Formats: sequence, C-alpha cells, structure tokens
Amino acid sequence: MKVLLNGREEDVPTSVTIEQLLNSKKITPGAVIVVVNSEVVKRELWPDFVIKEQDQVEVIRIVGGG
Amino acid sequence: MADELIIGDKALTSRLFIGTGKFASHELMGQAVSQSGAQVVTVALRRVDLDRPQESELNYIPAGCVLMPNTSGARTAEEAVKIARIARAAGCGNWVKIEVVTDQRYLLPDNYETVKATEILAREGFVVLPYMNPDLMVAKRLKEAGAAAIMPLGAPIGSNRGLKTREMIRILIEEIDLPIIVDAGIGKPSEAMEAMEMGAAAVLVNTAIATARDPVAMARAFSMAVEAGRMAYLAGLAPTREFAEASSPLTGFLV
Amino acid sequence: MSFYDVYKQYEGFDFEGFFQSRTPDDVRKALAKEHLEATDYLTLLSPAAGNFLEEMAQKAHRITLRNFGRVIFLFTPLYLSDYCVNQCAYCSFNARNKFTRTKLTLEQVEEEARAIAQTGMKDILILTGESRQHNPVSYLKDCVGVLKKYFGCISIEIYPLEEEEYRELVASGVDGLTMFQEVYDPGVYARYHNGPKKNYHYRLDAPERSCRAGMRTVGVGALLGLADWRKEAFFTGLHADYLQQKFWDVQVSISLPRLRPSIGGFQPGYPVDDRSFVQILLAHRLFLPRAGITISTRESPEFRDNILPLGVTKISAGSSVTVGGYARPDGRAPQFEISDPRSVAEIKQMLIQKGYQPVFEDWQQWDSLEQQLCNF
Repeated sequence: MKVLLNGREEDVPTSVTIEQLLNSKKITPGAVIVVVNSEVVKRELWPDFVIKEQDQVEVIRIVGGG
Repeated sequence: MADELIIGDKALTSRLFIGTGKFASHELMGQAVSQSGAQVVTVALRRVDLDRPQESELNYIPAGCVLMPNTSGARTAEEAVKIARIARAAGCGNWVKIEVVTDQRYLLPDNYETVKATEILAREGFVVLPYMNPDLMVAKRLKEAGAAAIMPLGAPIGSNRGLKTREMIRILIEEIDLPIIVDAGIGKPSEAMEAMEMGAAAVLVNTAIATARDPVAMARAFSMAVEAGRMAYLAGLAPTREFAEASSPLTGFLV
Repeated sequence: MSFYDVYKQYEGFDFEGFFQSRTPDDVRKALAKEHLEATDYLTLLSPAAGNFLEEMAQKAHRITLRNFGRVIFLFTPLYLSDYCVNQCAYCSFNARNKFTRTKLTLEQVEEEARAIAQTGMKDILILTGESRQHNPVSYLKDCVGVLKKYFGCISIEIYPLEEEEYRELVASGVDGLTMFQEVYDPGVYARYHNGPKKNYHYRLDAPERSCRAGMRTVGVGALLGLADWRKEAFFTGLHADYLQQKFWDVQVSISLPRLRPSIGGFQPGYPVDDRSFVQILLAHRLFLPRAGITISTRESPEFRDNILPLGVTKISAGSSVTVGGYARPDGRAPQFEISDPRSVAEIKQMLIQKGYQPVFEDWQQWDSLEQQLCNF
C-alpha cells in the first residue's frame, strides 16, 4: 500500500506498524518523533500502531538549531 | 544573593544561551556548550533524512541543559504552534522559542504571527520565548499574551553585524518588565558584553560561535564577555559626564 | 491584579531604615541612571537627596524639555455642584459644614461655559461633590452635552464610578479622569474619610476602571500634608507607573495638590514645605520622564513661576473653585482657598515671557473635529 512518508510516496507492506516501519528504514527509535496525520504518536504505542493506506507519516528528529 | 535569571520554573546562573546549529560536528557543539557553561540551548525539529539516518545531536548536549526547541521553518502562527506541540510531545520539555519567519531575504521575524502563536502556546502551558523584531508595542502585546521573556534581534540572523537595533532594545529593557534576551546578530564577544551592560537579561549566540575558527574557545570568550557585561551592569556604570551648557541655577528660589 | 497588589509588596518594608541609610553616593548613582528603578526613586525621595535638589532640577529640566518641549498645557476647573455626602476632614464641601448647597442648572452650566470660553480656555475639568442623589451620572452627561459645544477636552474629577458608568461618560464626550487617592496609607485614609468615600479600595481601583472604559488621560495624586510625604509621593509615582505599564495608550499624569486652608480650619498633620514639594516634583519627573505633571492654583504665583522649568507640564489658570463662580463671582463657599488669582491672560503672558508656549488644547475629539470640517 502507499503512504506519504516525510513528504515522499512510499510503498510499504499492508498493516505495517510504526515500529516495523522504523526498523525497515534503520532509524534508531530513541531519537525520533513520529507524527501520523498531524497527530504525534506516543512511543509506547509504536509496536501496535498500524499505518493505513494514504496515511501521512512524518518522522522527525531534533537537530542543531539557533 | 545569587544573581539568577528566573524564566518559567528555572533559575539560571548562566546568561549565555547557545544555538546548536551550524557546528562542524556534534562533538564540537557539545564541547562548546559545556565549556561555555551555558544552561539553555536551542534546538530545531527536522524531518529525518530517510536515506541517510544520522545520529542525534541530543546525545552531545551536556546533561542538565534546558532544551529550547525553536519553531524555525514555521511561516504562520499555526505552523509554529504545531511544531511546538510536536517538540513537547517528543520530550523536549515545555520551553519554546517562537520563530516565525516569512521574509526569506533577511529572515526577519513576522511579529504579527509571533504574537498570535505566543498567545496560544502560553495558554497551553508552554514557557514561551518569542524571537521578534524590537518593537515596543509588539513587546507589550507579547507580554500580555503571556511570554516568559522577549528575544529581540540585534541584527538579522547570522549576519554577525552586532547591535544594530541598540536604541530599540534599550527601550524594551527600560519599558518591558520581562527578561530581554538579545537574539541574533551578535557577532563578537564585545557586542554580547555591550548588550549585557545595557541591562539585557541574557544573549543567545549561535553563528558567531559555531563558525569561529575555534568554536570551543569562542564559546568560552562569549561566556566571559557575558559575565563581565552583567557584572558591569550590576556594578552600575560610572556616569558619563554630560557637557550641558552652563545653566543658571533652577532652585535658587528655595531658601 | 490591582494597584493594591503593588502596594502590598511594600508591607513590612522598613521605609524609615531605608531613608536613613541613603548616602550622597546612593543619590549620585540614582541620578546618573537613565532609567530609574523603584528603589532609585525612593532614594531620590530620601533626606539625603534633599541636598541634591539643584542637580535633580537640572536633570529634570533637561528631561522635560526633551519629552515635552517648551510648552505648558492650560486647563480650568468648573465646579458643577457642592452637594456632598462625604465628611472629609480637610474639605470645605464636607457634609457637616453648614452652608447653602447649590448645583448648576444646564442654563447656568452654559453661562459658566461661555464665561470660561471667552478667556480662550479649551480644556476643562468638571468637579462635583459625591452625591448620587444630587449629582448622578445622568446629570454629568447632560452637562457634558452642553460643555462639548465650548471645549475640546473635558475631564472629570468626581466620586468614583463603575466601569460601565465611565464608559457612558466617555461615550458622551469625557476624555479625562482625575482621581486623587488623597492618601495611600489605608490607616490614615480611614481616619480622614467618612461616608461612601471610606471605601479605600473602590477609590484606588477607579483610575484603572476608567482606563478600561477608554479614558484617554488619567491623573492621580495624593493630598500633600495628610501623611508622610516621602511614602505618599512614592506610592503616587508607583500608581502612575502601574497605570502607564498596564494601559499604555493612556496618558498618565500626576498632580501635587498641597493642602490649603478650608472651612473648618483643618491643620495638616504633615505640612509639606517648599523644599519638600520641589523634591517630590523632581523625583516624580526623574522616575516618570513622560508622565504629565499638573500644578493647580493651590500654589502661589511666585512659586508656580519658579517651579515651571522643573518638570511641570500642565497648570490651571483663571480658576474659580466655587460653584457658579465664573459667571457670578459672588463669594460663595470655595472648596479651598486658591493662591494664584491671576487671569488666563496674565498666565499666558507670564508663560510667553518665560519662553513657554501656552497650549489651550492638547487634542480634539474626533467628532468635534469632524463637526468643524463639516462646517466648511
């Protein structure tokens, strides 16, 4: 199925969870924030949170800034 | 009594805030912050580059520092509010530097949107430090909106041009009963010191440290300058002599 | 939040100790500052600062010139009614004093207005005693309706009102409020006042209510002579500062009414001599560089002329402090004895001769301006 991941259309397996998605992208979960359809998804929900077709997923991290 | 800067629920002893962007490496950033003794650092939120996942800067920021996420990238109040909420959800605490920039030439802040964002976020319990173009009326509105401090710019972001807005900042210091933190434009320790001598509560420096040949030494230099400026302010600058025209006595009628 | 919260912050503060510990050096430091904190202000009110009046005066003069230029605003008081239910020990209108009370009819108001307007005055301050029965808000509104035809600025100095009532008066054409707290010390306040005026807090918050109601100018003051002037002056200045901070679109001013002889022969417990008066005036100016400072005809001609360059921005001229006293100066009971009996023309002459421009009207209300334009 297709989702919008960080503004880019991506093909992901159906009923993938956030945790699985991050793992597949080799993103260390400790340092990121996940926003699905403009709502922040709490870390403890990641293993069970299933992403649906056409969801807008933003993976955000904290970087240096002034 | 210790000379502390109280903002929100924090009592700070260092009056140098450091921005963590633009450093050559995370290590240098971490060392600069820790060598300067800064207790507040700004950070930003960005999308992860999915093709090149990177290590987080957070691991290099000394423990105990207050993280102040900025809302850079926001062009409207709504976007700034959204970024602030995400940052809080991410565990950055409840401080936020509001930065709403629409002008892409000088990167000057949009005061109007900044007031709107401040009002919303202060109501939601954030400790809001708005970055603004020094304008007295806007500063008063920001205070009414619930800002915890006001951060006027000295010169455009990253310009290293010093206190170009000196006169306006002086008026803010005089008129606004909130900490005034000079943000942006400070290029040299002497300029940071000048701001502190004027009575600024703190200064926020990023580019001038991050892009120095030796950022760690420069961070220390800034730290000393801020301390010296503060000390001079507290000590009360000696009066500059006024060469007023010889005037006749005005109270001669009193016996 | 009320100014009382600011007042309370000084509860238990050792004013005496602070005043006694001030040194000449403290005074010099406070004088050298461009922006004064509350403690600097208090330092300038201390006995130590009494030896620096000339230095304070030079600086106050410069600041005033810079902020106001060489202009002095003029106004005239107009007493509408001396009916009063209060018993203020120092005031002739005290309800216990026996004299025939009077209240102007609208025709008489017009007569007075005409007489005052003939002198060229454009800024009027209307006064009444406190009596909701005799001087209700509706009566004031009617009077303002008449006065609007003659004056560009109308201010009130009457009993404290509700915010809504202030709003009504603003809508009817009033643009300024003068409300002296008389005395900021609640204990002393209770001693000198009886009647509805006994409510200290209701009076204290009145300027703030009027600001919320859209008043353009607000003046505060303490009656000098009722209590320790150093403290009273301090709280007067803090009150003005509080209002200025909170309502930044309102022009805030301070008056320095010094107690004058009145019916009943009240003797002030803390008389304020000329030196002390000047010290208060200078400290106010240095602490509040942009506040208006008003001096009435309670002061003598010589003294008023002398203090003009020290920070004064507004003075009354050609004043009568009796009800109906402009059209028929017939020797009714004045609220107090005035000291400066000079006419408007004489005051104007004096100002010009001293290098000041007399200004009769600070601003014009938009609708009256509009009216004038329509007349073209």
